[in-house]
Amino acid sequence: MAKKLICTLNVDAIYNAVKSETYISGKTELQANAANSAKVYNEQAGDDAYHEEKLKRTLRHSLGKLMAFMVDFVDSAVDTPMTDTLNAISTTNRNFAVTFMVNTRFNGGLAGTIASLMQEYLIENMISLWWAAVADRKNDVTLYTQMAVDTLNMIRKCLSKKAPVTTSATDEAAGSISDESST
Amino acid sequence: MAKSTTITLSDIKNKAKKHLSIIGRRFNRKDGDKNYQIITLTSNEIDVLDDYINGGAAYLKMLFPEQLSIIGRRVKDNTGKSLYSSIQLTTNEDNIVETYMNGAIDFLVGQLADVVTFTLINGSYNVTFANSRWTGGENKADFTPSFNDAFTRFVVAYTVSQVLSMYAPEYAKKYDADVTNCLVSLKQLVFTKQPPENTYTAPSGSCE
Repeated sequence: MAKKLICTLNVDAIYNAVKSETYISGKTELQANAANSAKVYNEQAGDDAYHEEKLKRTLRHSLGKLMAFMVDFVDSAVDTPMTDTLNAISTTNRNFAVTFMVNTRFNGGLAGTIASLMQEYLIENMISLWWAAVADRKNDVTLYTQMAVDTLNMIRKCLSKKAPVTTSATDEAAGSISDESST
Repeated sequence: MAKSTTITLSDIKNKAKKHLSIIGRRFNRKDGDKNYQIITLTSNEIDVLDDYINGGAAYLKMLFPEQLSIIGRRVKDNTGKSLYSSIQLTTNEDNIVETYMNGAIDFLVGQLADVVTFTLINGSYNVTFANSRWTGGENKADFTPSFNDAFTRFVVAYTVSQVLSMYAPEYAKKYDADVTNCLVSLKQLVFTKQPPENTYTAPSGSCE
């Protein structure tokens, strides 16, 4: 019987992580050249309306990629597309949950780790897509894309099976050897 | 959500005229070297000083009287008679001030159009910023007073520079520099984003 793995993520935490990363990058660039204020302004993600639209779109896209990666574990009993969970986000409820079916030998102690890795993947992929829109940031695109791939590999590793349950001596197949040469 | 601020134009116009009246006073200082020490600041000039001080350039408070003294020492007329107190702006100059003032704002609108929208309402400019992190944000900084002040000083400097360049170009240079500096300040202020708000919520996972 399969287990149900539920990962709950916060949309504001994801958006603000992307904003913070690009903000820090912009600040360091500005320190190097103060005349770059207009360029840096446009590199720092949010809060212009079209920046926010891009962030929303890339979150949806990144979540779609994540679900495709996890396709073998998607709960077949749920007919609603997973990305529709984003539509349920309101001003008061900023969390969204994704559910997967995992095997009985899944290590439940890794549930929180997988949730953290999923959030990191979404952030890294979003930053990669953000830098893709900036003219001279191709190196950052490569870096964050590789980081996202690494994170996916870590998620895959967490989904490995535990060792089989240890069986007791009485469950072992019974057998005996008799010495017939003595007869 | 966009941020906004409001700037009253009549206030800017009065400040521009005060700047010009100071220049007029310098030009009509006829007493020569020996009397430069009697020059004292009028209330207009004190207002201008306050204007600069509020803009953060407190060092000008120290420099300004010195500049006045130097200029007063240089200006002489043939008779040695002081006319500075009788000089006032004419109606023509008053209109010119307004024309250049509008030109200054048009220039600024073009420079900042990427992220700022100017709307003229009943003699005041309502300025709207596309960036909701322009002021506020994580550190709750309020750039509104600085922007309003830099905006005002830019328009004043631009206007005075334009008027002076017609009959006293050597004095316009200082205001040209003010225009450049204020524009740099405005661009730096406008193209600023505050740190994003810290709303980190740790992700959670459960297995049933």
